[in-house]
Amino acid sequence: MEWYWALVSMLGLLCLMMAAGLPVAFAFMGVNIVGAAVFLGGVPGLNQMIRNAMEALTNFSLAPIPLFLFIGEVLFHTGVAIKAIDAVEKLIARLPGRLSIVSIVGGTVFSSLSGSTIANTAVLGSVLLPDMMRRGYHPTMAMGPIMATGGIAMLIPPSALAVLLGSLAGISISGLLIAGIVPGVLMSLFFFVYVLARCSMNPSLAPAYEIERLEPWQRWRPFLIYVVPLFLIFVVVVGSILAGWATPTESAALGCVAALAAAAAYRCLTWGRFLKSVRETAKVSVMILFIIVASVTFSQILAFSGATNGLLNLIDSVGAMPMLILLAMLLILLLLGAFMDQVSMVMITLPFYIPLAQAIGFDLIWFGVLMLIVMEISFTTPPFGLLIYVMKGVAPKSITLGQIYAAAFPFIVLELVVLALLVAVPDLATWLPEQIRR
Amino acid sequence: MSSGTATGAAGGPFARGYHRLLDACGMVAGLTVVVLAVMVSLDVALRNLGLGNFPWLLEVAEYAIYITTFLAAPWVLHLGAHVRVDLLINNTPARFSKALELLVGVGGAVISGFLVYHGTLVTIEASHLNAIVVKELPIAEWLLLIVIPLSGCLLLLEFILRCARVMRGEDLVPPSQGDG
Repeated sequence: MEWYWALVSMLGLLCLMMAAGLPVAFAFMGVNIVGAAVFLGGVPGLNQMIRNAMEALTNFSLAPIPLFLFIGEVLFHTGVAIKAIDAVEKLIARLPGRLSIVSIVGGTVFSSLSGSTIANTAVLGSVLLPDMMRRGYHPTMAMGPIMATGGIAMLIPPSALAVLLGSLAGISISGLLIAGIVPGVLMSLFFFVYVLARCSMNPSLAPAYEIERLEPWQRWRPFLIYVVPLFLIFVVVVGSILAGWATPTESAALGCVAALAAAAAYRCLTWGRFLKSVRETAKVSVMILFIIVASVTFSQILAFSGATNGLLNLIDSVGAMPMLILLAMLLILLLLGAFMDQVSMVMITLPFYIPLAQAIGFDLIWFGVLMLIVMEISFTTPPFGLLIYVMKGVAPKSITLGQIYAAAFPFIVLELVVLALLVAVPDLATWLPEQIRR
Repeated sequence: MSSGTATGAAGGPFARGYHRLLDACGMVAGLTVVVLAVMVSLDVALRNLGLGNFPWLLEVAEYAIYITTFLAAPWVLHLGAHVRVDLLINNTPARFSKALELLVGVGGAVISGFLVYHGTLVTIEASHLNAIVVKELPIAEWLLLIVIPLSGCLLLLEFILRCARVMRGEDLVPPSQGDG
């Protein structure tokens, strides 16, 4: 079979199974079964698929995925994150779009503590959204910043998806985690300026309201008590990597212990909340890891069928400029992101993208950060943006999906601007890891 | 626990036992994460204090992630928490979406059946060959591989139950558990 038929039939079958509603982990397995039977030699290939399933998961570098998720779930379900966001709210006084600004600052702070975009969005949505709606905030100003900032959790360490990408792509996980910090903060800054500018020009988007007059100490005290100590989690996770005390996986474990210790110190850790955190961690991490079960066989089939080499040779023969190839790769990723989850996006594209990026000579950490930003954008792109549905879950019943899509739109544009900036100035991603390597 | 009138949890001892088994699998997967976090942290502390370390921990962690993922996958399926694209199912007439759900159930059952059949073949083969995975801890390969057909059995059962729920027009996700 010609490589392009192999490619089209494999990807076509995958899309068909996904569109029919088969859980994506099973859609990948289904394609693997057909692919292994055809391209990997029948029964031996099918048996190999079973061994590959074990091989795909017996990988220590995947361990941070559940560990980073656990940090976010503990902070969310014990209510520690809610106290932190309340403290940020007290600190921010009179600003146009005050609660939207609180969601951006609070969300960025929580991003540095949690590796879960879902937990980040859920906590911001459940704490701030009812207040925003009650005070007459326009849905764009109420939901947009929450979803956008929720997604930053996957850029700023700890980030479960950065670990997943690094692990499957063979990119330095610690490098990728550190490289996400500057773009994540930059994105947060863009959101901040946008909200401030829009609400200054059109105050009806976020009507001003009387806020409780507090002495400076009364405003700072909750911040010092409920936010500053939490940064110890970030320091433990990132600091232990930088100091050379721990690998990224080990730092994730240290972060979990720090999160549990923080929840216990605030007297928020009950047995029930602990079990709820454990349960939610298991649910999300098993969902992610079960998709990865199919990763090794999927790549092998694409390689054995000649699809990987065929596509790479075709791109090589066209002789397109590297920047054009990069833009095409990002565009394809954006399109995929509108219809599927982040793990599937990575699984489908990595077998082609990483050899291509290496052949062109892209810095893999920079390229990884670009992929992460596109994956972040896809969290809010219709129709399948996961955070759109998380928001739908916490928003009042009167809010329609259309309103949520519209709320996400300006922030998607801002994220694309940051993406373009990173394409133009790679140092924004690579500078920090390089400084640390020295 | 599922309140599960929709899923049949309120049924006989089999249904109750089945739901308890799935819940236990999920809880074991979550608690494994906590145990790993504590053990790995202890390992880092001991190593940096020059007091030695647990050389077997990395390998145990790898196996733990693999085993718990497979064992908890049926629980996640039961909760309806395996991510899927439900655009078509949610935006088509009821009869068509019901047929599609049924197709998904049958497709999932076939794939799970594959895991049971080929998983068993590979496990038996590894047992006959006395294959050993040698890293830090030598371990019989079949002990690791058997997790796949076991998980496949539960997945197969869950997909069959899903088909039955579709046929009876019941909810696919247990009302008390599909909240995440």
